[in-house]
Amino acid sequence: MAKTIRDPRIRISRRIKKDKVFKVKVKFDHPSFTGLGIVDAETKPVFSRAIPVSFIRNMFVYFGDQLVSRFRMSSAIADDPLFTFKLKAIQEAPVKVVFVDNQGKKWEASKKIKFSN
Amino acid sequence: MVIKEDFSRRKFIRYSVIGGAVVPLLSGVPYENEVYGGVFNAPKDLENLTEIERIHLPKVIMPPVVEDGTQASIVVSLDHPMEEDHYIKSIQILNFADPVVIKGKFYMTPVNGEAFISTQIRLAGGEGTVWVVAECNKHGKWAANRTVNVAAGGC
Amino acid sequence: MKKIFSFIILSFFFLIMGSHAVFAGTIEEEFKIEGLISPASPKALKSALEKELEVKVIDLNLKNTKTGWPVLTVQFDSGAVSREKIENVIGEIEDPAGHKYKVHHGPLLANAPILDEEEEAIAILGDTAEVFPNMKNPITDKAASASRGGKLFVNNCAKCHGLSGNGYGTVAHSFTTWPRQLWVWNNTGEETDGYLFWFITNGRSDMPPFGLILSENNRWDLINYIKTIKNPGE
Repeated sequence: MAKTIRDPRIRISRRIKKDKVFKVKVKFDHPSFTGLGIVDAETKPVFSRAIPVSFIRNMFVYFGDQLVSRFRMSSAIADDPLFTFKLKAIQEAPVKVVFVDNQGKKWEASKKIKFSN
Repeated sequence: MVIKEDFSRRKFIRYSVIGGAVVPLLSGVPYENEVYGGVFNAPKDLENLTEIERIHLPKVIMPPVVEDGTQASIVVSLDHPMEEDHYIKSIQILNFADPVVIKGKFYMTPVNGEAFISTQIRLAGGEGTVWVVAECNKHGKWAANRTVNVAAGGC
Repeated sequence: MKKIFSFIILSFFFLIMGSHAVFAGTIEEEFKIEGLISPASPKALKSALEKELEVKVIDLNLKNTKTGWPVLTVQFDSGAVSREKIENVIGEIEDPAGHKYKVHHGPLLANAPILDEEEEAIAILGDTAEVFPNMKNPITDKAASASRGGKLFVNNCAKCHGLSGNGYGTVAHSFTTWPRQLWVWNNTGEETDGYLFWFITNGRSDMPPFGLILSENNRWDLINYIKTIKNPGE
């Protein structure tokens, strides 16, 4: 479990060609736990609630002004997840990711896309 | 004695993980019924896929043995076009055996260029089936699954 | 004057005695408990609490509670022990895993409301409205079907919707949306069959698509069971 929350970081290849698809990696150090325990495994449902839950509920990806992806998540996403997805280089504009957790807290990061020659 | 056992177990897991990347990527568990409520599509013959089936079947890459259920890596991709009038709208990841069934649903647009997502999920211990449902804007929902063994549960 | 004074003193005495009789005595109180994580936890909590205080643990309900949190029911003499004292002692008891227990006071709906920015984005990229087909429930023996459905409910639905169907299952707090209270479908007619069958089959938002793992008959059994769930408050 991550002890602290760090702002999300974006990694993108420097060699991006117009209209080609490129990979975006986003790392966000955020604790995620289901808050469940197994106190009585004999009766169903097996798990019972142990502690308050923590998770990232949404990740929005904007390319320029356009919302291009949304990741809707539950507490069953890992701690400190690394997300990898792809985008088509349709423009030279910032890629922005916005995270919201179950407490309603928001984080964001962005990186400008420039075409290489 | 303990060290030896631990070594062989680690070795086994390492080979399993390496093997996991190259094992066939198609469904391992049959559907409960044939019509899937008229909603979920699946190939009729996994050995001979039609073109429609080939582009819509989600490819799921997961190691067959997951050592740490708190960080189970999963990669889902499709050989599907991402064009304005024909694209993958969403990819959903689930495991019905886990307490938290839905891991996430990833909504996409043609700007994504390729239907691809890689992340890490939590899985409960033991044997389970991870399901992936991809939704095409024209051809509906397509499902695939992978059987995984989780050494240490992460829920 | 002396008589009046004696009367006031006696009245005051009886008032004190009377109020003690009303307010003191053996009572039962419930505490929502955080920190129970392993099979060793209940025993550790019960024995430490009974050792520290003059109380009797009546019950520890782990899974079938109104809020999803385990509920500890304790019996004690309110003249000798207070609720606050019990709560303090619970907060000092250590679980075998090393952490301390805590009485839960959080709100029923634990997750924060959707932000405006999320709302806008969800409207663009989210689940769209569907047309629900009209369907006819093919199962005639509803009672036997509901009985089978009850077992399926415990295995598949109760973790989120709660064993009573009240929407506060143990896992209910793990999602953005809250599971529905299922007694809204109690005794509804065949007009709801198509909707329920579609919803269970396909899922929507945080509801999984059970069409992947449950046969059609299983899904009808579930519907027949869900229609028997009553609001326990009624």
